[in-house]
Amino acid sequence: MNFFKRATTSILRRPGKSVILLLLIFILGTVISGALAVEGAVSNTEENLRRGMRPIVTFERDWEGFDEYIMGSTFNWDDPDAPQMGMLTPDHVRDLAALPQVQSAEYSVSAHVDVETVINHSIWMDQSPDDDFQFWGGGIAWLQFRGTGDSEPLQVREGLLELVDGRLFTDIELTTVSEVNPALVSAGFARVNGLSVHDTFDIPVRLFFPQMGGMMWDEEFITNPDNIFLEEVFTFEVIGLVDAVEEADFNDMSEEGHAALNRIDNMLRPIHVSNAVAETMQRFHADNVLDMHAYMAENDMEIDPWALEWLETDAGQAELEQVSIESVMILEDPLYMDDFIEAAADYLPDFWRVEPLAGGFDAISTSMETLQDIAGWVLWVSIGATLLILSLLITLFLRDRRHEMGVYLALGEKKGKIISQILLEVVVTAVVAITLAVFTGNMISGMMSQNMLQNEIANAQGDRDPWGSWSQFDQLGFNNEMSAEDMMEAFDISISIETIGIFYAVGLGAVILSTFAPVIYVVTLNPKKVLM
Amino acid sequence: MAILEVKNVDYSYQDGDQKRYILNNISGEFEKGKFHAILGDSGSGKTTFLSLISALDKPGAGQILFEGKDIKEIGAESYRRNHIGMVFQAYNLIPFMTAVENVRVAMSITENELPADADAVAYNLLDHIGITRDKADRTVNKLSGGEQQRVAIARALSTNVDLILADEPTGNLNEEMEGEIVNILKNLAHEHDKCVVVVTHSKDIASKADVIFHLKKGQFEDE
Ligand SMILES: Nc1ncnc2c1ncn2[C@@H]1O[C@H](COP(=O)(O)OP(=O)(O)OP(=O)(O)O)[C@@H](O)[C@H]1O
Ligand SMILES: [Mg+2]
Repeated sequence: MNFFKRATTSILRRPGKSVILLLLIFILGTVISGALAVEGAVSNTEENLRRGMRPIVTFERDWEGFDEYIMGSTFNWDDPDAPQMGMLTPDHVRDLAALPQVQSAEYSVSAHVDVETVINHSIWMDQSPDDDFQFWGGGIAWLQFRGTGDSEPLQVREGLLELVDGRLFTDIELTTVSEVNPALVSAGFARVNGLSVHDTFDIPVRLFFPQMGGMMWDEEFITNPDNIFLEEVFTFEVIGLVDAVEEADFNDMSEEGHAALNRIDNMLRPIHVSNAVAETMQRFHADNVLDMHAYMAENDMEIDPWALEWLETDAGQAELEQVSIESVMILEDPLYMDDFIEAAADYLPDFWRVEPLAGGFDAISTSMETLQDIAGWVLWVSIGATLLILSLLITLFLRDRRHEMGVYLALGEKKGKIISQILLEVVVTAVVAITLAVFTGNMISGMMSQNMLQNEIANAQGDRDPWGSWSQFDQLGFNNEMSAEDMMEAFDISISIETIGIFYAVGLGAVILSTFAPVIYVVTLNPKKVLM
Repeated sequence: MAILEVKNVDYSYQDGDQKRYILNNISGEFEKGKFHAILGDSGSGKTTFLSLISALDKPGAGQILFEGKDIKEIGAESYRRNHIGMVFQAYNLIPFMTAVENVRVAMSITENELPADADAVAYNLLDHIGITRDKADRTVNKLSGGEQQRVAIARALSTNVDLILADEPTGNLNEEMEGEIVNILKNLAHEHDKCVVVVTHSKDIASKADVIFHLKKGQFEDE
């Protein structure tokens, strides 16, 4: 009857007490394993969601952060050195692209012009092509020229746009500005303007005198030579036609359908040119604005003092010297997202932030974190409760057995062996209870987390902005909303071996810690008092 | 030569600011092959004396020598484990174990050299002392008081020790049982050359002893 045999005999011959201990550990263990399982399910699901996402990021002005800063107490309007909303430049992109998480990076220069020489196209025109579509804007087209540094523009490479006629850019075209510049236009734009591949069209880029007071920004205004300081006509040749891969469905009246139409319309709007050409167009204002002010001064024209003052500021100088760009980067792995966001903070201009292509996921990610927090709390509270309740119960049981403990001591048993016996009794019972609890805990929490996550996903769907957001991704036509089906597919309550291992470790750890108080009781027991 | 020697032992407790002696400069010798009785009134300090010679408590002064060696040097645990067997008034068996298992507990704790077939030894020992095989396999709370005390005696003997210490071993038993238990203890001394020390307040039992120590006012008195 060594301590090992004594332990097993004690468990089997005192079934009532063993069952009480077993049930208690089982119940507490179920709570602990449930909490661990919820944590596991949430992180599985989150990881699956992340894995399922294209790891694409862009960079945006953090207006919220900027507002907060301006409203904050440290901000001083009169301080010329106070940080200002920064500007993303090719230098920033170069630094960011060097971060280890980045697989590929590119940037795009954009230019916007108001012209009367072409007609804007919108997919809404295609809804009923026979009607005369009245465009707002007084008959002028507000055109975006989107530069590319790659012969295959981002949206073509990402499968959003497809080439339906003609060709893409050549490498030489990407870096040169010539008399006639290559352009990719949407098939719709070509149709409404009567253009086909090899045709050319002119785009006048104008620098207008600053206007005081309100005026109509219409065809008459923008063509009136009195308003124009300088004009340069850019001639473009249509080298190819692109169209959206996603088909517009005007009959889909749902929110998603509406969002899809907006997305398609957005992605078909820009005219694709080389970064070199877009830069020249963008720089037209900055390159000539100082000349214009000089001319105005010479001719006694009224100059807006604010405009001059602005040009003296850092931001104004940057505008004169730098080119403003947009950048999209693809990361090596979706799981690198958090690391990248953290690392990028050091390289972004002031008040800029990383915008991951993860709109739909963001919405449930916060609620999943809450879920995980709750599970964390439940875990710690239940571990605390386990320690307290088990310490008490085991001590009570041992008080009941003080004669037995006294006998061992009177017989000269080593205290270490008596402690081993108690530990063994508790641990053997605990292993059985914990093994049972693995199953019940996972079952219960599986059902629980399924319900909760499903609710979260349903809520996240409800929270969608039907108009989409104004992020660059929306403008580029990326669908950054995750469908409910995708999210549910990512839902995963399976328990990893690690989680089970952690559960055994946590459970047994708590049980072993709980024998601390009882062990003190045994060590201080005086056999003379108990036995004689 | 005496196997156990008690030399000038004091045992006291603090009562307010007064020191009260239960045992005061007590001395005695106990030999193998003899049945010793320690006789005294209730509260005279018999149990206290037994607790000292069984190393369940420590004397305030004096020495307790086992085979000429101070039991402090042997170490209380080791002394109890390897050199003595104890029998209590309340039997103090482990209630959820069988008789033979109770005996085996002591056998697994001692470091003394024991025969290889421990189970057979335990059953034999119990049989010898009047616990038949079927009773040996019963959990002890299903045995009578007399039977339980026999199991306790078997446990005390099982570790192959020479010194058996018993505190009122028949205190909970009827007269018939008392006689039988006393005979067993006497036998152990006379037939098996054990040194048996029995604490009792009964003159009847004491009369059967080879040596009687009268405990009075903290000392052994000759009568
Ligand atoms: N720690 C202590 N504190 C105070 N008094 C004590 C202590 N230990 C023993 N006593 C007292 O010492 C005396 C001797 O006690 P002990 O148990 O040795 O007597 P005993 O001879 O065994 O008596 P009984 O025949 O009733 O069993 C008693 O009066 C007891 O109350
Ligand atoms: Mg007593």
